[in-house]
Amino acid sequence: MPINLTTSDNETFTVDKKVAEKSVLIKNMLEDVGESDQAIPLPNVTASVLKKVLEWCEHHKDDPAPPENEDKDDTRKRTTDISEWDQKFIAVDQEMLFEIILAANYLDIKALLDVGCKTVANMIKGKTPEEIRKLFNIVNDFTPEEEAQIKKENEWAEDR
Amino acid sequence: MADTNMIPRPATPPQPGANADLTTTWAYLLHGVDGIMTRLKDGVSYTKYMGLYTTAYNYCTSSRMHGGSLEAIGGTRTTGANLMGSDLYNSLQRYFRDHLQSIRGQTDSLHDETLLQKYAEEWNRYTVGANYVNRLFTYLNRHWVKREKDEGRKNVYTVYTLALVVWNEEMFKYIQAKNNKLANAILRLIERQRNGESINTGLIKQVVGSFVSLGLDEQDSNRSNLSVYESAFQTPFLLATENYYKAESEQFLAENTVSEYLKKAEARLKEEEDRVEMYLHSSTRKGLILKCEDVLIRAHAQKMWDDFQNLLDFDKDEDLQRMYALLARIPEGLEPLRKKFEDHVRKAGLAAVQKLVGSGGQEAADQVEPKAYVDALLEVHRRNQEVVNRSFKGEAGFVASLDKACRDFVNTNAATGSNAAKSPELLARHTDALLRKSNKMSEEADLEQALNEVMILFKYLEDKDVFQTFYSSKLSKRLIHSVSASDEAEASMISKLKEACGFEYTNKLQRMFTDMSLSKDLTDQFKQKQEQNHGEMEINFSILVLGTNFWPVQAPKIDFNIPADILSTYNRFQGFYQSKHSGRKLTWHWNLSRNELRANKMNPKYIFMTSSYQMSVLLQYNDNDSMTIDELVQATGIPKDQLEPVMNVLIKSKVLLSDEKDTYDYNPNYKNKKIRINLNMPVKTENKQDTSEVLKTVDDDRKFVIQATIVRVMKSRKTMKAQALIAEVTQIIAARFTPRIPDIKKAIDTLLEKEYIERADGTRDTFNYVA
Amino acid sequence: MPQPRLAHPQPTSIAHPPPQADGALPPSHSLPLAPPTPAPSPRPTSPEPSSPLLGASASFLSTFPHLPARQQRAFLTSLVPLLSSDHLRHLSTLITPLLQRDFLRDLPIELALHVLRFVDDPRTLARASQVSRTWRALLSDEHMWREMCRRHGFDSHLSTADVLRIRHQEFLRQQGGFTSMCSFSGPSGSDYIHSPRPMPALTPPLPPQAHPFSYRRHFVLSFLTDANWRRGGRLLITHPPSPSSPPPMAGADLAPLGAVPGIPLLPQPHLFHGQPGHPHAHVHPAQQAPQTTENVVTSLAMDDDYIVVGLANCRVHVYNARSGALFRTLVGHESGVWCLGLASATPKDDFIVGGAYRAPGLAVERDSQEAWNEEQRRNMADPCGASRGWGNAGPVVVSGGCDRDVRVWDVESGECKHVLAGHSSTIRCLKLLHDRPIAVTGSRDGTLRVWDVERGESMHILAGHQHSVRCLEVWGNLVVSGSYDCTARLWNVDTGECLQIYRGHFHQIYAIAFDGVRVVTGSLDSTVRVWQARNADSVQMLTGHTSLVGQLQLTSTHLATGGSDGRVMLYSLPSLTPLHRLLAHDNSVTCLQIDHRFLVSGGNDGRVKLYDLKTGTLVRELTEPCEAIWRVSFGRERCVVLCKRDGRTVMEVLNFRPEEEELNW
Repeated sequence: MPINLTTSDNETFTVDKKVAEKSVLIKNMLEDVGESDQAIPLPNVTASVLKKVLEWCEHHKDDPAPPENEDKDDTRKRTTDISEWDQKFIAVDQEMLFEIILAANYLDIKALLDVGCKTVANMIKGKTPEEIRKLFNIVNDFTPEEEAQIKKENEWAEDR
Repeated sequence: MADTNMIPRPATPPQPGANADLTTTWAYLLHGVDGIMTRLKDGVSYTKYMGLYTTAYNYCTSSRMHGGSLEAIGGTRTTGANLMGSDLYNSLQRYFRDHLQSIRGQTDSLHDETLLQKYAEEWNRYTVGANYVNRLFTYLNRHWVKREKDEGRKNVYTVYTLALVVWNEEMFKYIQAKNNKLANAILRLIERQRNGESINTGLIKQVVGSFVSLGLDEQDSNRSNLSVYESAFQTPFLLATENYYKAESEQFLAENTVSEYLKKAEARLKEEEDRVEMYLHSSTRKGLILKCEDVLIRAHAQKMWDDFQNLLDFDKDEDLQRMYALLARIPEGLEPLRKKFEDHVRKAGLAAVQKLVGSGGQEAADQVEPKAYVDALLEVHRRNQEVVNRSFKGEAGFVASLDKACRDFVNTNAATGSNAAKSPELLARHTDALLRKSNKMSEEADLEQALNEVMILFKYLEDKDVFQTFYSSKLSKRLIHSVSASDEAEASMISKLKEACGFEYTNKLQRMFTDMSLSKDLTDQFKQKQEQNHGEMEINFSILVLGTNFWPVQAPKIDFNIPADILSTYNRFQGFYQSKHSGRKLTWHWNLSRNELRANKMNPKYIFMTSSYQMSVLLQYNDNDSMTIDELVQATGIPKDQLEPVMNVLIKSKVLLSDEKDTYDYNPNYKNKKIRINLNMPVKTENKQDTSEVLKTVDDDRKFVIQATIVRVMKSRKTMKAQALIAEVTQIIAARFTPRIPDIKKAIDTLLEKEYIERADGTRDTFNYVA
Repeated sequence: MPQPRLAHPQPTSIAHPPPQADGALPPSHSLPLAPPTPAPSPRPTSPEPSSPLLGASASFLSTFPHLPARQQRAFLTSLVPLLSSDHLRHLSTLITPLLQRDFLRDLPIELALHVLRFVDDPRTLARASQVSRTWRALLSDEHMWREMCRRHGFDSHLSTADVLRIRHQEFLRQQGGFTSMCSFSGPSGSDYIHSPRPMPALTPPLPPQAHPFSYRRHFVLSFLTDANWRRGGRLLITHPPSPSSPPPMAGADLAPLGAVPGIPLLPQPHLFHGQPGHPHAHVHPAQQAPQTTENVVTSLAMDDDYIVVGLANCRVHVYNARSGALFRTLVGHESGVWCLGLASATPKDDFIVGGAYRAPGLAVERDSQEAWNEEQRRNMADPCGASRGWGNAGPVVVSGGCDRDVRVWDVESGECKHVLAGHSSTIRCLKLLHDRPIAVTGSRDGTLRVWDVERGESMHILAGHQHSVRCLEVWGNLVVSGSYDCTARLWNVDTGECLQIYRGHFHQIYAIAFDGVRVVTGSLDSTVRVWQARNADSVQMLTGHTSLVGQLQLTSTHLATGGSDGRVMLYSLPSLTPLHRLLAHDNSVTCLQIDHRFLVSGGNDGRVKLYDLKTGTLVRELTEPCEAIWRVSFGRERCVVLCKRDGRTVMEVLNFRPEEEELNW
């Protein structure tokens, strides 16, 4: 049975229940409130983002449900590798990536949230502070003294 | 119930914007949450639901990392990011509290069922609502709460659990505070049910269920424990149960028979089992049942034990079963029954035999008919075996009691008196009777059955070796006189004995059979040989060669004059046998051998079946018509005392006549309707005398067995104390007979003399093995 | 607690001035307009005009925001074709920065941390914390560092002191009550501390150490320690345990030599010569006594505080593990000491954690590669011969040897608390149980004995072996023994019954290991056999060696074996697939130990080699080659080598803990 989702900017998407329920938020709500043909308002998501998110849900709608116990899965399977499809999917500008992460978080789609966060993590990896600043357009707001101090404080991790 | 909630409800506040502050946020959430908690049935729209979720979400996600406070730099002081949520959490907690405080007053005036109804009703609404709210605050749970817990903060729970905690504080404790109003209401309800009223068990199930849910594990609030359920309900419940059944059972027993009570107790126990099933927490079962068993069974065990005998006497099978089932539930419950049962069986056994012997005293005892005796014993065993299987589920303890009792009365009873050898003998004779041709057992199956029954008793014999000796002598006779019913039967009996006592025990018996078949072959070979050498034999000859050690037969100490007529055959066979096994000595048992004579002079030509002695006498009359006893002694070489019984038979049968004393004449006008006449009657007094000699052999065997065993033990143990040694030896030998301590001591002394063992230096009672 | 909320609506740092009304051109890196919001919608990407606009466009500009989204998009789409490449270039410089995002600042904290959760590499984290104040603040989150510790396996190295400190801090937090801001990480879900349950919130004395416990600091410490193992470390001290009980300060007066801070310890195997301060230089000068076999080192046990050495000359020497100084000599044995065990001190309140002993069942074989559950780890015997005490205030040493007596020593007072007679021949092996005052000894007389070393009583005699008991291992309340009768047996310490007999070796068993699931035996027949503890039948035979296998160790993930053929084999568990086959020594392997990082082996060829457990490559030799290595044992931060150097028995303590100044920033 199809589900109607309305975005903050008043666009309505009609999707298969199975797809919509990749979002634990929606799944729970349908359980609690029961199904009806009313549209489900998603005040925190804009059309452009929801479109993207639904694309992901569509592609993953047949994935097995993730294991319940979070603690376990964040200790072990912390593979930062991302499936090829997801890599392509997530290859977007930072702004969109940012929005996707927030949307996934809001809609409670753990797998997608992880894809997003892993992507950011991978962007940081192996970069020097300066490279990172450049990548994310961040201002170095340390005083020189502080910077020196902090450099020293973190020397332990550098090869020597 | 929507109208009974006390919180003043303003019109729905507008959904706050993304960055709304706590006050606005909470104002909106409060309204929604209250709606869910109190008026859920009014339903919730998607918009409302999403509105609430989103508002909570926005608040929780409004945290941002801001430039680290400078003093953090340089210090190794530990810091932590700080998530949004505690305010929301506190507000929720406050709401739950207010909400419950506003409704709990309604329970004040209520009691018993009405109270429970109210409580259950509120509980259901509350938990359903709380579940809902929990979902709406998922994000709070997933991040702020989780992190607080990870960091070891106590008293922080996921929203639903929080709701339960508050309920426990504000509602449950509030009501319970009035002397356990809640728990007592349940207990009273349960009591009414025990009194036979029908009650709303669903109600109890709900309330009890809430107690279970309220138990939270301090360490890990995701895990529930039963603390609340146990303290608030289980403990008082068990106490109530105890009191209730204490009173009931005592009163009931005062007014009814034990049999009645057994039924009652059984029913009650079942009832309580079901009660747990129906509406209690399964963890209560153990305690509850133990309690009941305590009050319903242990408390009245004595009464049951006392009544046991009378149930036995009247074969009250059902009651017995019931009593067994009940007492089996308590550890020490069955022991007294087993004891009583043992005595019961013993008495029965002894009585049975007494009945058989009657008041005849020793005389009658000796005359006891083996079959009757055995049947009497078996009957007792059978009856009680059934009782064990039927009433006591064949429980091992009772089986043991049965065996013990049987062992007692089988070995010593009115018939045996103090004579330990009596039972084995009677049993052996009975078996002999079964295995003889004379036995009219039509069906093979019946015979087999009968033999099995023999084994039942055999199992109980203490002096199995006595039985063995009797049995082998009986067997030897059956074989020698070929009166055995069937080889199959013999074989099966022996295999049974082997099964019971092992190879060693039946070794000799088996050998006797081998000898028989060997002898048959031997005879055939001999015949062939004869035919080759001398053509058709003039006398028909067959031989039994019996291994000296295996057959319980003594050769007579006489030098018998072998009659000329058979001498040649005799010599030929001697020769033949020596040629086969040189160096073996054949001892001829003339007293056991049989012959057939055709009386050519007579008309018709009668055929006499005789013992060799009779033959040798009769043959004398080929040459003489009259002989004196001395002449006969002279001629036959049979000493007078043994000759006379022989003569008596011949006289009695009129083959010879004796007109004057000590002279015997040939009877020419002998007449008899039969042509074949058996003169070879067993001479009387046999039985008596072979009993006593059997016993003698038994004693010798025992001496030997005991010594052998001691040596075996010492060989393995090298050195041993007397006590231990005796104990072990007794235990080993018990399978065959129960050795008497003095005998063992004697044996030890003998071995000391023979220097198989020695006293360890300086000790009286420690022995060393001498290699 | 609104304070962080005040912070966020507009960016705090000078770097992000609020948009200027006067339309001055903001620095290209700034984030104009919309402040980060919990869930912002994409911002209209209208570029700033570069010069005051004229009427029409100005008015349009003011209406643009009010157009419906579609209209706006439509307008822009149709605008682009009209632009020259110059325009576009100009646009892109304006747009690109706008599309950038300072994720860790703009995301809600929990998500920022979630991102970091996907970074394993400490270097990245260290660098990230130098990016900006915001990042630095985020990256000093204790919660994150605790997880890092767990992930890198550092969590299992918390010392008792650390644990006490954590508890103290947690206690303070509890006091702090609901609004407490600081976030010390309490050991809830204590799977990373050797404790069966979270600790009670009673207040322990704050252990004497300046700074409070921090997981970040602990991580750095552990990280540096590992690094030192590979390339750093220093010879803390070296001196010979002398046969004649040395002056108590014997250790101390050597200390200055050894303790020269930061002397690099033999960087590369081939760079030995002329290394300043390498052990050879520091042999005790007064040490003239001709070395007889008398002071062959037979046994070694150590924990964080003490190093205990047993010698064939009846003596037991105890050293302070931190300074390496001789602490005390335990005199009493009448002939050679052959084996000993050390029960670490466990202050009462700490014991609440370690204790509450409950007998484990045989552990169940887990086929996943996952490490042991808490119970299995807790019951596992310590490779350094130290056991968790039973609440004993001071450390206790239990020793046995040729004089057939078991002796129980109070280390602090040096007094011999019990002399336990019973064995009728030399005591060959000895182990202490965790959390209980129980020792198990194996003897040439073919029996094992179980002792209550607190009461000083014999509890059981475990009889059954036909010949000498050569080796034993304990797990929970179970003990396995290997014997010259070629069999191994499994016993229950509490009942004294023999639960299993493992038959199959053709020659004497010399080594045994046990993890509650499998029993591993090494034998003169040159094979290693792995038995299922619960059923003696199912065996696997490992034939990697060509002669006697005398060294064995099991960990949650690996099995290591060492033989007289100088070979060391490493297998992975539970599959038992061989990982590395190391030709470690030219002569028998005399000692072998592994942890989750390293494999250390010592041989009769006088060398101590350090291998990387994963790669199986030789990292370096830990000491200057000498005549023979008696014993080597290592803990988290130090390695103790007992060897024969220039005919003398020498002890060297190598320290890998970084200097405090490396940690105090």
